[in-house]
Amino acid sequence: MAAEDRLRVAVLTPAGAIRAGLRVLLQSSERVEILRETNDPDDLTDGLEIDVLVLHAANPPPGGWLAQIPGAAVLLLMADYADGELPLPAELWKRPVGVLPLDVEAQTLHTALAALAEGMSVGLPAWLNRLYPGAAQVTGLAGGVEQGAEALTPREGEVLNALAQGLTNKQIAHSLGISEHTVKYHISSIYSKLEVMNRAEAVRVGARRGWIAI
Amino acid sequence: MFGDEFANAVGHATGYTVLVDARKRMPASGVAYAADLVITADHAIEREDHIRVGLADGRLHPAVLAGRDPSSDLALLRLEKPLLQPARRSDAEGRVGQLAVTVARPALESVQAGLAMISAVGGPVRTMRGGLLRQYFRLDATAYPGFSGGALIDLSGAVLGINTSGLGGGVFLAIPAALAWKTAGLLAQYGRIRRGYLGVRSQPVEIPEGSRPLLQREQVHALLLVAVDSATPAAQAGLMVGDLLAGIGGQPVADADDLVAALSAERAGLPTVVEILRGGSRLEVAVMLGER
Repeated sequence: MAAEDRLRVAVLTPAGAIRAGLRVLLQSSERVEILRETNDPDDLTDGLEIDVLVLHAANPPPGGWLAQIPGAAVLLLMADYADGELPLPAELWKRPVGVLPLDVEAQTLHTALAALAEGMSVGLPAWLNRLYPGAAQVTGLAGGVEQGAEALTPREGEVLNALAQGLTNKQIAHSLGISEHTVKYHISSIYSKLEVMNRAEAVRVGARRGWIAI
Repeated sequence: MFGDEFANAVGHATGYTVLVDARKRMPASGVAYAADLVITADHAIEREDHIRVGLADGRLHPAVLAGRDPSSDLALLRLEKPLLQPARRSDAEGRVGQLAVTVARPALESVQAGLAMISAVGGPVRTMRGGLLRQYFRLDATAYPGFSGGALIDLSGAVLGINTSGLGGGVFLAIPAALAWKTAGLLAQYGRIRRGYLGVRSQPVEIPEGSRPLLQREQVHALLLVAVDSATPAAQAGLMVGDLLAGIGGQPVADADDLVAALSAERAGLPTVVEILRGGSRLEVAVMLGER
């Protein structure tokens, strides 16, 4: 299998049932190569080329270790919402992030890994929103598909979804309870972030990035 | 005389062909749909306030946006007063080879016209604006500046279609009058076009090679569901985040445009079947499409 087709994965979890189960799931795809399994992040900072770091969110080691693993996307596995209450490294949110339940099916896991390796963030938006710190909140999913793509604010996400319904500025203002002036402000910000010129293009690009409910 | 027919036809159109000033550049054109309503090209509406409509009386009148449908590049403007003389739709549909005239009012002084032949009748086709156009007329005509939103007329002066260069990468097309009138009617009544709705957010991904044979067709891409909004048709049908949506209603879905095109207004509220790849198997899931 060609090197670029391989998915190099490192697993950071406590030892035991979770790690064993994950290994079975991960190895169900020939693409995946498990580089290392550990419960100590310091084991991962020796220059390994990791595509995706799989992290059990109930076990987030503190400290700046993540910055020493540049280039790796992160897949968080969570047992439930409560895991999201735990402090996670701020560095996390600068990269493609996936959030999946711990009981994820193999197919979903491998699709998510492939998407993460391509630079896309994936996962349940309710969970992502819960995890995302402050202003970086998203409405659909985290991060940009293309490199350098800027995430929309929650309000911009709402306006973009209203654009997708073919609403005029006045109709959007009415439905969101804000002024037309503010709507125009959000639309121009959306255009600039999506690098588009008009509503039709904004809707197409937004739909492609998973920011619009269809 | 042969030539008189064209001038006479344009004469009929003079009354219902208007100027539409809603962008910084040169104004575009519009067609009177009712005494106070104007059909125009959506791409010509670059600002929604201070819209003005220029009539045959040589004056500009304030108008508001009554509704817009970016995907079909149509918009409807409403004048404060019923000053317009509505256009007459042609009884017959445009045919390939039919000689017609494009009429527009990019400047207040007078209407302008161009010779046009309907060189092809096409559709349904996905537009570059993310919609599905059921039918269109390709025109052998010059796309003069400001002609978008104007009418394609037959030699009796009746409207065959609404011209636009905004639908297909600058190609000059006419949206058949029947379609344009239907859209204008919906915009006049509801202020917007309602469409079919599934309730998913997705990103295009490559289908894992091992799963491709399940589809029994050549398809490389599908939509990875990254969100299934609660209390939506998708949620009720049991679609899940991580599912690969590969088809709907018997049509392959490889990107968001495919899905949008499949959820046209006429599908809203109807049952359909979505094709899902999940956990290494292919599922057909019945969905009752919503409307929004």
